[in-house]
Amino acid sequence: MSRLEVIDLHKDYEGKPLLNGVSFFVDSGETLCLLGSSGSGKSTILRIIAGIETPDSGQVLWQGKDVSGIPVYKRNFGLMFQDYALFPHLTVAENVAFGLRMQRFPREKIAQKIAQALERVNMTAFAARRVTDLSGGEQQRIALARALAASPQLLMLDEPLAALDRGLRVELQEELRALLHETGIPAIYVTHDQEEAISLGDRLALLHEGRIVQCGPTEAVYRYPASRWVAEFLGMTGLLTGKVITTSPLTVSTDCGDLHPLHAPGVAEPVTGSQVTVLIKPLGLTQSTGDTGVDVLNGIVEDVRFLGDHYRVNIRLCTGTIFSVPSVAAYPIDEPIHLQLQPGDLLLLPD
Amino acid sequence: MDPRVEWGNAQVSRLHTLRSLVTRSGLLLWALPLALLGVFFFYPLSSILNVMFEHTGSIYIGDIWQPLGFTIYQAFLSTALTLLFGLPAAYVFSRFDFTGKRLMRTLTMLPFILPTVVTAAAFNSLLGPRGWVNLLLMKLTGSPTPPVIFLNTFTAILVAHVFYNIAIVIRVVGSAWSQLDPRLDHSARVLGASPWRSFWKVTFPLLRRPIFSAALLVFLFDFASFGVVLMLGGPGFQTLEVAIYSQALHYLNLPMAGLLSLLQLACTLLVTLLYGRVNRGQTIPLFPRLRGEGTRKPRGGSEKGLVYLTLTFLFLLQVLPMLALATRSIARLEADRGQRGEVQAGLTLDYYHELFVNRNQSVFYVPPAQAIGNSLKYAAVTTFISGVAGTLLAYAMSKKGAARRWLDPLVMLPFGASAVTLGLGFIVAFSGSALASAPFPWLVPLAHSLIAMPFVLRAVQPAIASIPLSLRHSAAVLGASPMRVWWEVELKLIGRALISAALFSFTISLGEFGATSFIARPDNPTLPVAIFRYLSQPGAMNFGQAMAMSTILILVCVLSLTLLEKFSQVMAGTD
Repeated sequence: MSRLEVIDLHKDYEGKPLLNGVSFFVDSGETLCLLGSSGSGKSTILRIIAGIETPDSGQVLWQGKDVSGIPVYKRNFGLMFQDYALFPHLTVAENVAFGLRMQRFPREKIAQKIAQALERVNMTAFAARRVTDLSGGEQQRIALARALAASPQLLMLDEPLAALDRGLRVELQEELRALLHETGIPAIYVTHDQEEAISLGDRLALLHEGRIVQCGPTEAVYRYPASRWVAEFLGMTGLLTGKVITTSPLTVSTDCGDLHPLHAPGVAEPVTGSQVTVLIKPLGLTQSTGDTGVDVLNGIVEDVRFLGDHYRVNIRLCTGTIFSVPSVAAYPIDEPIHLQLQPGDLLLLPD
Repeated sequence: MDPRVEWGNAQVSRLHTLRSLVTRSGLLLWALPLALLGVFFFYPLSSILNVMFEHTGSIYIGDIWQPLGFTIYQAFLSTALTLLFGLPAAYVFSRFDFTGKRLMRTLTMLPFILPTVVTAAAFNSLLGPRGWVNLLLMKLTGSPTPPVIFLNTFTAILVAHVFYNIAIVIRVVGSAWSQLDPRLDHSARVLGASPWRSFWKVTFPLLRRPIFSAALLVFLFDFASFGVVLMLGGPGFQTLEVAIYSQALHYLNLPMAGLLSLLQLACTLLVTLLYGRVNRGQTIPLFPRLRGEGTRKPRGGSEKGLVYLTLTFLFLLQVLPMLALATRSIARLEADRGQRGEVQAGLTLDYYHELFVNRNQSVFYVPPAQAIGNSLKYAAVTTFISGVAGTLLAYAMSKKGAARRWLDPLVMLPFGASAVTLGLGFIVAFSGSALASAPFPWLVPLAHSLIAMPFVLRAVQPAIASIPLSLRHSAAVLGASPMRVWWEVELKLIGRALISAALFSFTISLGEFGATSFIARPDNPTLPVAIFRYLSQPGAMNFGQAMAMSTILILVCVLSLTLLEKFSQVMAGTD
């Protein structure tokens, strides 16, 4: 079992703190998605792990040992750059061979590993091509093959799909996921795209203002966002602010009526009278018979989209908040709707 | 952990920090180039100052106005003429396609690296008293004296300056012009502007900056003109450069020469600073690529006429003298000294054979072939020194840091100095020193290296800047140590630029005359020095040998230019 652990990384950038105590770990066989807005320091974390940059303080541990004394070129961590950083003066095969040559693999072994690496990304036919003649998707594959060829102990991917167009991105996302699970190498995948993060990450770590604000299995993070920022960053828009009236049963008074949100595990006990956010996140649409009742929200159908096996209904509340709900039926647009929420559709978020 | 191991680790990491401190500030990279500049520029400069202040009695302030005035006057006039002829040519090259365009463009670049002695020899072979034109006219008219007097006239200086610098206008203005969207002009025309009005109101304002910057560059070269004025202008004309030369070598008045060279340096710096201001935020590459877009075949009589006129002009100005030179080097047309009666006119390789013969009555005690050998040796050493120092400097200057703010001007000052100033500094500082009397004349290639370094810098710096940081990082992550990153990645990527730089250095050294005329030992002449002396000697054999040596130099220059163009094209093709 290999484990990379990052402990309390601090790094200032142009006088301002960029990383302000970042800690997380990755184990073999799993992919950790490091999610954060651009400029949040995600790439810097990867560069610190790789040894390209040094942190102002904090530690990077590999198998429990501090790696700060080991220079970049001796760490044997794979890092795939956002712009792929293929060597323009080398062919596809020579690019893949680079790491193997640097690590002084014997000649026969290199040839064998190149063939293996190219086969893994379905690029065998391209071995003799110049990398400058490749398309973006092909370059991406070669960069991946190069990063994996020398069997790194850890693989880091810095927004590997950001430069590609959408169709290709979805296709490569699938390939990447299969490949990462096949190799079993612990992987850190950096992205600002939450969809990519959901489909690729076994676990998510969200970076905000120099800290990991939430880290956990992808599903758990989605189910229980730890803060308003996390919910918003993950694209959840059904957010209502309100005041706690009573704590048992937990009742929050909002502009759209009183609601009874769930109190997520691990979140601090709310205090009566405190300002909180309620996340509306129904798993399905149920109409209420009337416009009053427990946990009934009244809104207007803003938009309905047909998505093949279900609909997505966008509902606008009196506060102007718009959120979307999956539904088996379509509803007339611009008509009022009374939404009956179930326990679990509402989540209390600490502010 | 064992405390000793811990202590060891601490030492290692301390060493690490120290090393990264040094490399990060780039101090090691600065060290060699700065040492070179310190010893071979700033020390000679201070020696010049020293000589001046010790012998203020031999300085006549009144003597500086005449050369200063003439320098400015001829530079202005030459620049104006260069623009007058260069702008139409720039238009033709940027807007039209025609057969032989690439060849013509290469040929117009040739003077840029052509030694001044060769230019002097070329115009001599065409328009000099022994040149083709005069020989032909004498034959036709039966006149006993050459009817065309070109050498030692102001016209000769102006023509040679246009010959040299028209390429700058064509390249700088032409590349800007070719990147202008031709539709701007078209839309002005559609809106009712006459072609002339459209040019003045639309095209010209957009080209004002490149024109001004080309003009400044041309002015700078004309201002510092030495070989052309000395050899084609003759004794009647003195620029500051020529005045420095004659004060130092003819009147042996080093303090006066020193004062003139400081004046020269100040003027050059002033124009350089102005040039920098004009081009702030944009660099004009030495070999910009003219793009093919927006060009078309000339249509109609007036367009075709303009293209033919331009080509004919460029041919007469730039190609004909070269052809005259080459053909003159293999033609026997007049009697040798001591030969009487009718000459057997015809083709001959005698002038080339004679280069290998050591004659008593020759200008040197050594056969001219040895000058060729010397030049090749110096050029090789120069290529090495300027290549290493220039590349280090390019790396140093590519690093950001506080050090750059005061190191940059320290580097630009020597690069603004003229070759003649450098030569003067060398004789003032090093004559009688161990360096001057060493078995190998180091001073010559060292002076050449200082002259070639800016070219190396200009070739290598953009190549270094164009390497993305992620390539270095990804090589390191893949297991390449810093040395190997440089060897396996960076060197390969700047390789072409290094070859260009080497070609430049080699060619510059081969043709350098200004500094060399001061420091070359009489018994160890370089090729240009030999050509200069042979040109100023009477006799058909001496003249023929000068032609032969000049032709060899032209061939080397053509070869080097072809390679340069090839490499810059390959470079443009890959990125």
